[in-house]
Amino acid sequence: MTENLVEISDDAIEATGKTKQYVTFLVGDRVYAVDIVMVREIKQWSATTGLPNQPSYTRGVLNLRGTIVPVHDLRARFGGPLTEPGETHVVVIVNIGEQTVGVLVDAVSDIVTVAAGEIRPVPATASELDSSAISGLVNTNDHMVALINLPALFAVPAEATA
Amino acid sequence: MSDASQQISPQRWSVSITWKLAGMVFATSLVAMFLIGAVADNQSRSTALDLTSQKLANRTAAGRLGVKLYGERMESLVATLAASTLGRQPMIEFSSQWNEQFGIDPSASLREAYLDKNPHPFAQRDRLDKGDDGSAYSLQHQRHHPGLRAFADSSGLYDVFLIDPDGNIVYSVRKEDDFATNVIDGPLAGSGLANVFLATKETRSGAVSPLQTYGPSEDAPALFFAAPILADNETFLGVAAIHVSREKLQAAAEGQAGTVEASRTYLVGADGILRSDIAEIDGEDALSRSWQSPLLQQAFAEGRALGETVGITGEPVFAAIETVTWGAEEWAVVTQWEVDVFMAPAREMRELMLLFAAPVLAIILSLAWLVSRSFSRPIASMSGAVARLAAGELLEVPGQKRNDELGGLARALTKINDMAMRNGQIRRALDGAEQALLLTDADGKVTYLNTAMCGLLHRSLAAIQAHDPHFDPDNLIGGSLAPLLALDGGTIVELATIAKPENTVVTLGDHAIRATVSPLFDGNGIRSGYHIEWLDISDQLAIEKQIDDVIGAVATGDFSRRISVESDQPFVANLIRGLNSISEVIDDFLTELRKTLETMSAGDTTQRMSTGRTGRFLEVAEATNSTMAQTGTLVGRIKTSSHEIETAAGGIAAGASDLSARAENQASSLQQTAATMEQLAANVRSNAANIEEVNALAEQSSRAAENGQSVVTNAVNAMTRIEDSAAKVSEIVAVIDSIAFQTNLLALNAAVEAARAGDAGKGFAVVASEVRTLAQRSADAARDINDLIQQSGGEVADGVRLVRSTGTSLEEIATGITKVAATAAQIAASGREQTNGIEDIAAAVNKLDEITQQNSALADKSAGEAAALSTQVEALTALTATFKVDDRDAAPVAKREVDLDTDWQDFASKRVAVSKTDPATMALPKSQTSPAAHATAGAALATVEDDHEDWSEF
Repeated sequence: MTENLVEISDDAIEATGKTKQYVTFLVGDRVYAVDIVMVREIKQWSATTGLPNQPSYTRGVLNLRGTIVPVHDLRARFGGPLTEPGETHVVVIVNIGEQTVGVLVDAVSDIVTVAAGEIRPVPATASELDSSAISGLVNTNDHMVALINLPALFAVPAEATA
Repeated sequence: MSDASQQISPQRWSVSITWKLAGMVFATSLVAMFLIGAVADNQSRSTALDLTSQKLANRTAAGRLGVKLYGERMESLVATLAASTLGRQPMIEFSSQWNEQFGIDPSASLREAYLDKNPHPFAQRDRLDKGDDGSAYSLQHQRHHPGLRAFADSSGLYDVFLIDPDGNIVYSVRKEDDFATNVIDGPLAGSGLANVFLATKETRSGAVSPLQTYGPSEDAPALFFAAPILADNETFLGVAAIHVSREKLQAAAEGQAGTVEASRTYLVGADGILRSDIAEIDGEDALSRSWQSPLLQQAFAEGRALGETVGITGEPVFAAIETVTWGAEEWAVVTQWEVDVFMAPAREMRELMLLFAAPVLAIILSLAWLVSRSFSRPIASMSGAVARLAAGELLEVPGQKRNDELGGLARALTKINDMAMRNGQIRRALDGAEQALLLTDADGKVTYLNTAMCGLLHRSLAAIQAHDPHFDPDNLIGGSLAPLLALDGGTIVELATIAKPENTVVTLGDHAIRATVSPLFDGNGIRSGYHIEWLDISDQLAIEKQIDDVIGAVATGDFSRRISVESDQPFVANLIRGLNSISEVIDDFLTELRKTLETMSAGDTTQRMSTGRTGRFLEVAEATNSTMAQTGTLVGRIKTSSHEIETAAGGIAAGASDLSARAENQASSLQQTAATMEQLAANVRSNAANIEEVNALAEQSSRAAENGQSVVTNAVNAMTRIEDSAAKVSEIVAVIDSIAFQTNLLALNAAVEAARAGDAGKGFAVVASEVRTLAQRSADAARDINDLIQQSGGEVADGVRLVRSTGTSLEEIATGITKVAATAAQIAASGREQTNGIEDIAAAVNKLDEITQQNSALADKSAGEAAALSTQVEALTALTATFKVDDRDAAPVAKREVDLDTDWQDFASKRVAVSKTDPATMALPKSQTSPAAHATAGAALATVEDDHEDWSEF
C-alpha cells in the first residue's frame, strides 16, 4: 500500500476550475486510475464461480448482494499472465453504463483529485488497442498514472447482450 | 557200390547210368511236350469253335432279323400302295376302263397294245408309258404308269400288279405275260399270285404267298404280297399285289457284313426244301434242292440250333440255324461254315508245333546224354579207386578238386582211407608195446589184447586157473573180463560206474599186478569201452617198504639204519645208494659237532671243527668255529674293561667333590636374587593401587558429563517452546494486519460514497481519509511487530544451535573420560599380571635354591658310589680269570690301558644309553650281592652322568 501516490497541486485545480476524483490502483508496479463516479464498490478478493466459454481474462462471476457481476482480470486483459489472487487482492466493482463489472487488481492505492487540464493525451505511437484502452495520462510526482477507458475494455460484450 | 566185394564192371555200369539218365530226361521231355501240345491243340480248336459258333450265331440272328424285317417291309409296302391314291386311283380308273372300253375282250386288246406291240424288248417292256391304241386306258396308263414304275423301282420290287375284283390283272409294271390275264380262270390259276388274290379277296386283308414257281417269270420261284384296295365306303375295289425280289431277300438274309470265305447263308422250309438260291452252285436251287439234317429238325423244334453237321453240298460244316415266320410258312435261316476252313489256324499251329518238337527233342536228348556222362564218369572212376583202396593199394582218389558233391565224396573217401591207415599203425604200435594192454567194449567183452598181455597171462596162468579152472588166455577175445577182475577181491565190481581211471592190485601167485581201468568215450561223450593196463609191481613193493622204514628212522633222528635190498632198476638202485650216503654223512657231522660244543662248555674256546665240508655242513661248522672265536674275544675284552672301569671310578669321585663346592656357591647367589624380587613385587602392587584411584575419578567425571548433556536437552526444549510462542504472536499480528486491510477498504468505499455525494459528502471524505491513515498506521505497526518476531526467531535458532554444539562437546568429553577409565583399567590389569610374574619368578628362584641344595647333596653321594664301583670291578676281574683265552684276544686290553686317563670322559659319553635309564635305577639298594654287581656299577655311573648333564643345562 503505497501512500502519497498522487499529489496534484491545488494551483492546477484552481486554474482550470474543473476537477475530477480518480481511484488509483496497482497492477504489478503500474498505476492505473478510474473515475470515482464509475466505482460502485471496492471489495476484497473472494472466490468466483467459473463460467464456461468465457474470454481468457474473465475469472467468473460474483454474487454481489443479489446482483451477478462478472469479474475480469485486468493484468490478463492487458496481455499479462493470469493473476494468482490472494487475501490482499482487490476487486473494484464499476458501473459501465447499465452494466456492473468487477475488475481484479493487485491493490487499491488512493483516491486522487485531478484538474481537467492536467490530463495528457496518449502519445500517437501507441497501438490502436492501447489508445482505446487508455483515455489519458496524468503525471504525478512519482508516477505516470494511466486513466483506463473502462467501456472500451469491458463494455463491448455488454452491448452485445443488451 | 559201397561194398568193395561187389565187383561190377565199371564200363557196363557207366554206360548204363548215362543212358538211363539221358533216356529218363528224354522221356520226361517227350511226355511234357506231348501234353503241352495236346492241351494247346485242344485249346486252339475249342477257341476256334467258340469264336466260330459265336460269329455264326450272331450272323444267323442278323439274317433272321433281316428276313423278318424284309417281309414286314413288303407287307407294309403293299398295304401303303393299296391304301394310298398311288394304288387306289389307277385301280378305279383301270378297272372302269377295263369294263367299259374294251367290251368283249379287253384282255386281248391290251395284250396286243402293251405286249405284242411293245417296241421294247421283254425285259424292258415297262418303259412303254402309253400304248398306241389310242384308248382311254392308254391315257390313264400314261398318267399313272411312271409313278407306279418309280414306286416299284425305288422299293426294289420285281413287279406291281393291280387286280380287279373279278381277278383280271388290269395293270402290271413289267408287262410280263401275266398282264391282262385273269388269275382265277386264266393261265395263272393256282399260281402264287392267284392264291394271294383269292386270299385277299376273301379275307379283305393282306396276304403273303409261299415260294412257288411262277410261269410268266420263266418258271422262276416267286413271292407275292397282296393287299385289298377298298373304297371309302369299304367297297372292295380290287387287289394290289407285288412280286418281291428274291435277290433282295437273299441280301437281307445274308446281312450287311457280306459273306465269309466258305460260309453260306440260305433259307430252308420246314420240309427241308431250299427257299433261296445258292450263288456258288449253278442252276436254280430254291424248291429244287433239299437239305435234311438233325440240326434242322432241332431248329424247327426249338427255334434255333447250333452245331456241326453235314452241309448242303455234303461237306462237314458248322452251322447256325434260326427259324422265321414267312406268311403261312415257317422258314429257317441257315448259316454254315466249312469246318476245314475255320479250323485251319488250329491245324496250322499243330503242324508248326510238331515241326519244332523234333529238333528240340534231339537237343534235349544230346544235352541229357552229355550231363549224365559228366556224372557217371567220375563216379565210375571213384568206384574203381575205392575198390583198389579196399584191396590195400595206395593211390589217390580221383575227383577231389571238383566243387560239387562228387568232389566232397572223393575228399571224404580220402579222409576215411587216411584214418584207416593211421588206425593200422596205432594197432601195430600197441601190439609191440612192453606194457600189457587190454581193451573191452562197453559191456566188458574183451576186444583186444596185445602181445605183452598174452605173455603176462601165460606167465600167471597157474594162478589164474586156481580161481577159474576153465580160463584160456588164447580164447579171451570176445569173452568176459570178469574172471580177471575177480582176482582183485572185488574192488572193481561194476565197470559202468567208473568215470575216471581207477587202479586195482591183483595178486597172482607171488606177483602183485596193478590193473589201471580207464573208460573210453566216443566223440559224443558216450561210453564205448574200457582200456586196462596191467603192470607187475612185486619188486617195487619190496623196495618201497625198506625205504619207508629207513626214512621213518631218519625222521626220528636215527641215522644208523641202512637199506640192504638190491634193485635191478637203475633209478631205484641210485635212490637206495643216495639214502644210505645221506645217513652216513649226517651221522659223521653231528658227532663232530657234539664233541666241539662239549669242549666249549668246559671253558676251552680254542677247539675248532674241521672245514673240509660243503653246503650247510660247512656253514654250520664255520658258524660254530666263529662262535668259539667270538666267545674267546669277548671274555678277553671283559677282562680289559674291568681295568678301565676301576680307573674311571677314581676320576668320578674327584669330580663329585668339586661339583659339591660349586653348588654351595650358587645357592648363596640365588638367595640374594630372591630378596630383590620381593622388593620389585612391592613396587608393582603400589602402582596398581594408584591406578584404581584414577579409574574411580574417571568414572565420576563421566557421570558429570552425562548430567551436562541432560541440561543441554532441557535448554533445547525451552528454545523450541519460545519458537512456538513467536509463531502464535505472528498469527495475531497477521490478524491485526488483515483488520487494517479491511479498514482501509472500508475507508476507500466511504471515500467513493462521499465522492458520489458531491459537495455534501466532502466532510465525510475527510473522515474517510483519516480512517484510511489510521488503517495504514495499524498495518505498519503490525509489520514492525512481525519483523521483530522474525528477528527473535532467528536468534532463538542460533541459541538452539549453540546449545546443541555444547551437548556434542559434552558427549565427546564423556567419551574421553570413558577411554581414560578403560586405559586405567588396562594399566591396573597389567600391574596385576606383573605382580603375578614377579611372584612366579620369586617362586622359581626359591625352587632353584632348593635344587641347588639337592645337587650339592647328590655330588657328595656320587663320590661314595664311585668308591663302591671300584670294589665291584675287582670282583669282575676275578670272574673272567676262569676263562682260557687265546693270547690274541687279550692283547688290545693292554693297549687301551695306556690312554685310559685322557679318555675317560669319552668312555662316559659312549654310555649315554645307560644314563637314560629310569630313575628307578637310582632306587636300587646300595649294597648288592655279587651276581648283581654289574647292574649296580652301571647305576652308579648313570647317576654321575645325570648330574653332569643337569649342570651343563643350568
